[in-house]
Amino acid sequence: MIRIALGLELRNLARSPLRVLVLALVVAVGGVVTIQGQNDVDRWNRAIEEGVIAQNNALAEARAWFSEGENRQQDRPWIDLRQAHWQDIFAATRIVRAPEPLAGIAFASAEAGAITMRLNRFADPLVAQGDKIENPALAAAGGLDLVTVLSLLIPLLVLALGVEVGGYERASGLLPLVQVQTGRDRSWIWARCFAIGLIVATVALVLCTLATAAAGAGPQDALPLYALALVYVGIWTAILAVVGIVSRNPSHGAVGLGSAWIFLCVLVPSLGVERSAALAADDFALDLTIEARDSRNDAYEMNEDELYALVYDRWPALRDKEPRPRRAGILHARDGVRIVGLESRLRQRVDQGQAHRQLVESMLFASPALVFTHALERLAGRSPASAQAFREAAVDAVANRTELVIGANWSQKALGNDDFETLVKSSPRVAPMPIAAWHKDLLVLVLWLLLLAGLANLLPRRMSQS
Amino acid sequence: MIKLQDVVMQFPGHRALDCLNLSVSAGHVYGLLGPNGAGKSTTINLVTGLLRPTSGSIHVNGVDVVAEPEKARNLLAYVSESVALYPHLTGTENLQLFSRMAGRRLDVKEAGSCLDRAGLQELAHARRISTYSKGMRQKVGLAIALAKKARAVVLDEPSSGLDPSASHDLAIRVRELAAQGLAVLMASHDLFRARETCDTVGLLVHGSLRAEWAASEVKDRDLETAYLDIVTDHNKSPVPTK
Amino acid sequence: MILTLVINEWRAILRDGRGRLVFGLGILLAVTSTWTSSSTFARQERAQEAAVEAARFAWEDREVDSAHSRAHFGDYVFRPSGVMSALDPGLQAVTGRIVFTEAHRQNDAIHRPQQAAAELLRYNRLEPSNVLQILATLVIVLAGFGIVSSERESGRLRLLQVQGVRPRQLLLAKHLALWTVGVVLCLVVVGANLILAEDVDMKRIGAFLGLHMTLMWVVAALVTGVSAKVERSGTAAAILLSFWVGGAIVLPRLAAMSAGALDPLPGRDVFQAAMQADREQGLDGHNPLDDRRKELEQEILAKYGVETRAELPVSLGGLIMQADEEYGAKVWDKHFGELEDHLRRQDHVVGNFSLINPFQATNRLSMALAGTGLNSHLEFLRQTEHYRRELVRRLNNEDAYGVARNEEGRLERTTTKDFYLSFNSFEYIPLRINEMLAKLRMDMLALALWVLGATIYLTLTARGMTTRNRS
Repeated sequence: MIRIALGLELRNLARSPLRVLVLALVVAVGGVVTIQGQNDVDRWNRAIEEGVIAQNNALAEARAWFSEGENRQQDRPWIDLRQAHWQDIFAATRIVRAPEPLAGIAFASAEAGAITMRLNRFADPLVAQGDKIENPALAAAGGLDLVTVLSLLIPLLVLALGVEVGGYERASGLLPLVQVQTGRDRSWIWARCFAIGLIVATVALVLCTLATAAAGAGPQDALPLYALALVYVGIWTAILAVVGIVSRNPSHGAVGLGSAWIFLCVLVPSLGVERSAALAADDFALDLTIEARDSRNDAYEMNEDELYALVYDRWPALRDKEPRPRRAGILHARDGVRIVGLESRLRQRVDQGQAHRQLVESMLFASPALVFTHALERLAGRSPASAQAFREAAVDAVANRTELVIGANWSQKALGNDDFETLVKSSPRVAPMPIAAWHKDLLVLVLWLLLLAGLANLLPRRMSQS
Repeated sequence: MIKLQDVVMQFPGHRALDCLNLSVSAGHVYGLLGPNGAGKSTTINLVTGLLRPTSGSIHVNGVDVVAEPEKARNLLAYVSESVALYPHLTGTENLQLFSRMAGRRLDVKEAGSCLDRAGLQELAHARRISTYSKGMRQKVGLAIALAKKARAVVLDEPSSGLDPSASHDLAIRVRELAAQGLAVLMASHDLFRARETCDTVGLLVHGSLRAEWAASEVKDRDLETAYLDIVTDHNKSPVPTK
Repeated sequence: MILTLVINEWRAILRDGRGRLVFGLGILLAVTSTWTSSSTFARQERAQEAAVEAARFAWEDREVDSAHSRAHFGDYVFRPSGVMSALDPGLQAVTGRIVFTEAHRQNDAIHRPQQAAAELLRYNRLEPSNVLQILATLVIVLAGFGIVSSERESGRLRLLQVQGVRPRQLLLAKHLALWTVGVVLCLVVVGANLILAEDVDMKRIGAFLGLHMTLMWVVAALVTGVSAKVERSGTAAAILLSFWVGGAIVLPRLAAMSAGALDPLPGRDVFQAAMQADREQGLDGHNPLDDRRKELEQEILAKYGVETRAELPVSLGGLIMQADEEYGAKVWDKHFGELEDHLRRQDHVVGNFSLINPFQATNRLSMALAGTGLNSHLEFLRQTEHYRRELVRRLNNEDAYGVARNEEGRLERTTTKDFYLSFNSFEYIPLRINEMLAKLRMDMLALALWVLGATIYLTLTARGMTTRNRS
């Protein structure tokens, strides 16, 4: 039956210029956004390379001074690489957030976290900006990338190709003939929906293949993308079947499918945005701004005992390196206290983010479009979770190197090349990223598919009698 | 053979069929007449298994339509009032498509032969259905029925909207189907064409079969008079003349 | 005659189950969105006040420090939401709303409020402007795709014409009926906002209402025209839903992507490196060995007719810092000016898409009226920079002149707490309507063309129906 229906749908497609146009448009837009996505990943990689070059130049400059036995810069004599402060400045390596293989598919993501950051004890990863200067007028449009094409346009393709399935048969009186010929009530509508699903799935897989080929992604990245795309197309095929089974004519079909698309792809997500906005609306980031500044200033108002107690509490190993007199190490102790404040703000942000994430994740079940977007953004490593992981890794690296810098300063000796190299090596070059947890999303999508398929199977017994 | 026994069809607040008994033997054409709302289409839908009766039994060649609708449908062919086929396909392609649905694969030659037998001109075979007249579409509908090699055919107002020539042509094809040994059940409004085409004519009013005539034994004028009498006087008792 | 037909259409919409459902849903969405956006706006107002208060408290509570330290202490500037932003929050979800103003540095706006929910930002919010531009237009499409084609399918069209209704009257009545559906939704949304809002700018509200009624006119005309033109309601539904999806969902994204791809912005690193390179060409206020600094020092000594710094009646540091600041401002003006031009060029590319998309033209004009569009954002950054310069200039002046030599001949600060208390907090002055609309002439032209085109299309369709009837 499916082969017969596929033959019909392919003929319908070939003989309808409008459908061919719609199909070609989706493929063309998909192709363009794939190229754009790859360009974006190239730009990302270039930004990392440029950062690494800048870092290597600074390191080379410092190493040259060491090799020449001259620790001072001629035009700025106060720079002294034997001091921990200046070693920290010149050994400021960069931590980078390497793009995931499929980063290009979600290049229009609204998540605009930093992708590279200089690490020294003055760095504030919590307010670091992304590498892109964004035009808000473009960002507010919602973005068009492969994720958008797959999540919003592919369902529309199902709609465009299948708008008359069921409705036409019923309105034209063809349904009884079909039922008498096939012997069964619903097999023909299912077969037509399945055939349309196959055509759309082919389009989706072609786009996914283009994206994975352009990115040079391996099977471990490509297979989840294929699986997610196939199940998502399956969901819309099942929606097509539900609507096809109940619609009295193509107009009802159009309204039914249009409403389903609007409900799942516009209304539910916008309600989610609204709820999420309600959480974020009060937030003027006072923790990152005024409170952060206050905590930095607090370090200047604390007495020595308080300062050192805080530093030892955070880095117990520094207790053995306490400078004599204590007053000599107070500047760097203040740096330590500032980092303690930074870590506390990070924890606060993580907790707040957690609440926000829980809200977003609770919304996911309400719309397959949301789950699908969420899964693809994770797969692409462009989710807020990735940005958060990068910030955490950067704060961690800053805290670790600050311990070294404080220790070096408190040692009260002239530092050398070895100390410099130790500091250089102390920070990771690449931030570890969370493993893309798309399995749960896939499971939710499969549940949606089963529910809708079940609904479509339950409906016909009643509907066929109308 | 098509056989309905004590069939009752009750819709919410409305009884569409009330203890209907009807039988069409192989090689016979049975014409089911009646005014709008009499229950003709309900009867057709019950025979094709599109509706389940509230009570009673329906058999096609001994197969219980209620218990085994799929098996019963395999023995049936159906021609509707307005055979709207898939407009993007040609007559041949539509015939091939519907035959494959019924499990029969026709090549172009076989399909052409079926369409010829249904009376469709050869020139039209390769044209899209969207360019066909209603009469031409009815012929493709008949060709689908022919190609299925069914044991019984059900026609729902097949001559509605056809010109006299097309209607006459259709009547000839229907007789040909009966001549091949098929049981034909035809719902119609057209008293005169029904008398001309059918072996037996039944009059359905408000879900009950009020009268049955052997077509050869009743004249047009008598049929019309009897029809009007029965329809305008629902309480009049049935006239068993067969 | 036309009024009778319009009333009849309204009756049909309200008595048909599908029409009732669609219209009822529209009203429900309108009211809900107004309520949620008003409460969001109220929360933002409170948060804004708290933030400003916190920043002010931090500024005033600080011990009397040197003006130079205070310049580095800086001030946080918070972008206010604006009264109209309840109706159209525009770009606010994606623009940073906090700028740290300090000496020597022009910082970017930071903190996008919803970054933790980035996946959701791909989708539109249920805010009044979106309800009107996206959902109310959809209500018109769903309520109206069969408004003429179903008359034709059922044969009523012929009956109406035989009864003496001319096609032009019929289409005008159907169009007016659909348009008034849109107008009712506009009035519900804007009216509810008027009830809930405290500070109402009637001129802007009126313009906002007029703009959206204009969009409704265009959509209603196209829906009526297409429904009259095509033979089947299913075809009309497919065409009109495609138009809606294209205009409201796909084209705005395509426009943004095209603008970004055709004229990409420089990366942040590249931009900052270029600015840094130019900055290094100028005076370095913090480097005592800097040649330009030495030259300036000589100029100042000559101006005061003294030989050494110790003889100066003012603090040299403050004067040099201000010179450094002024050079930095020039560099910023150059680079930010170029960046602003670049942003506007991209915006212009997007604006060209308004010619083929009335939804986008309306959206851009609506943001402008609400003061939440690109121009307003750039204006906020400009005013912030102006505030920063004035803040730093006063602090540098105080650093230079707020001193007196003591008996030992050493400079002593005379700055009092009152000096710091005399600073006013940043206050954003919104652009006037004509200033905002001036940059959106293309969008206004586009919308005017759409109104004209849709009306002509409707008229020609009516004429086509007349011709078809005669032939």
